Amino acid sequence: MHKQPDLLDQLSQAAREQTQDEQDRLDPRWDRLAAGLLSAEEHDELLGLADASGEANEAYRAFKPLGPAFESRVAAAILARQQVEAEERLAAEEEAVPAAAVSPPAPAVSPPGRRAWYFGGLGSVLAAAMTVMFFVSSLADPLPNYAPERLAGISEDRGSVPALVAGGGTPVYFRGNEIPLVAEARIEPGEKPEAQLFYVAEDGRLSGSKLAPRIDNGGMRVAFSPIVGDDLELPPGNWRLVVVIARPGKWPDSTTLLEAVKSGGQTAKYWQVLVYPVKVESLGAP
Amino acid sequence: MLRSIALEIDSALAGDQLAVGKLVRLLTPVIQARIARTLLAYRRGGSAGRDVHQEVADLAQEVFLMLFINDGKVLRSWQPERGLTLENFVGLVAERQTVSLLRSGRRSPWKEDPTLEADLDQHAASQPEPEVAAASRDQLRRLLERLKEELSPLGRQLFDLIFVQELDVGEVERKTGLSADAVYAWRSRLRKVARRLLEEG
Repeated sequence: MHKQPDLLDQLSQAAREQTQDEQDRLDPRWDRLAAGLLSAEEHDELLGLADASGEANEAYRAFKPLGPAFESRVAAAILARQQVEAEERLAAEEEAVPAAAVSPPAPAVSPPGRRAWYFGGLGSVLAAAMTVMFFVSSLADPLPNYAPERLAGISEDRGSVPALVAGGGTPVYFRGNEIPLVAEARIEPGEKPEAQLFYVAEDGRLSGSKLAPRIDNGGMRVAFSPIVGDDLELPPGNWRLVVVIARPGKWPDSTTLLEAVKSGGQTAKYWQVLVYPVKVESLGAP
Repeated sequence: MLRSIALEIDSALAGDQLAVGKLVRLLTPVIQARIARTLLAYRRGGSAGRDVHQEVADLAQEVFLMLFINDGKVLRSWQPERGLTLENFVGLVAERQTVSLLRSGRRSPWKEDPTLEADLDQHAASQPEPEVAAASRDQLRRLLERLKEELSPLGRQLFDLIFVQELDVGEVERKTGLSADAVYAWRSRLRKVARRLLEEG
């Protein structure tokens, strides 16, 4: 009588076939592309494949080196996370000592939707103007990582329906344009996060917007769609739009927020600061 | 070399910026390549969506954070004496997390490998294995994905050595530094995990 192969035999065979199929489709040159180790000839070969087929084109984009900017961003995120964990360990240790010996907590940024902010200075002024809300909730899960969608600027064609242009350089907007600020997480945050939009002028002045966020897809998608000149009064010039996403009650304090904005964004355990540089031009500009 | 990598990991986990930067540079290519392979195989099933380069970058950042959170619990679980290089270990972590995030949108919780005393039946290997009806190709593909998601890097390594490469116990002992009892126990455990996943559908 024919004996059925057992489950692990079948699985092993499937794994071997899968490996072979993958090797046939994506040979080791693709791994070397990610590592930046291809010779010029090999690179040309892969580019040729990418030109010839959609599948190879997608592979080329998937394996194209992530680059130093990615590495710096990740290293900063890791260090920030380590800092948060170190602070939590310290806080846990402090909880073990008499209350009188513990310093009061630093003021934190208000949750969104309470008021608009307009601040002419840095840390201390911002801190003084903000509502202090500090929730002790050490059991909250970390906030998942939200990836900002790349902003596409508006073309120089100033027709009634401006065409989007692919990235590269600072995106340009005109009065009346909507700026789609979208950030998405790959995993559900559980409790919906809070979010607030800020904007920073060339001189470093930080202001808050009253615009409410759209938070959907179980909290995995956070979006603001400010209209220049309507929701945000942005005169022509270079601006940075800042989206802060945070666990309720887990907002960064004002000094930390300003530092995060200055460093181009930051990811911490319970909050994330995303910075979008934009340029606003006058319709009458040459 | 191994010692210097181990020292680099210790420094990185202690918050040394230079060491973190070095590790990120060392590991980015392997993490990217494993994610890209997994993601492209997944997209072949018709799941194409966001820009693939951005998707790979997002997943790679998730994997890096997974390695370093909780005082580097995952990174600290790398045991070079078990025969996996750091790059291969991290590659398996990347594959596992990618499968989990793509399949369910959630991080796969990190499980400790069981000890012989705690979880494994050392005598189970001598018992006959029940036969199962031949599974369909599609069922096997899904089951393989679930298995990749379920197993730790050591479990994946042992699945590969014992079942895929069909090495004998002595060779597995040499490659992993595990005892023969531990190898038999892992063989039994891998069968149990596969059967459970099949039953769960």
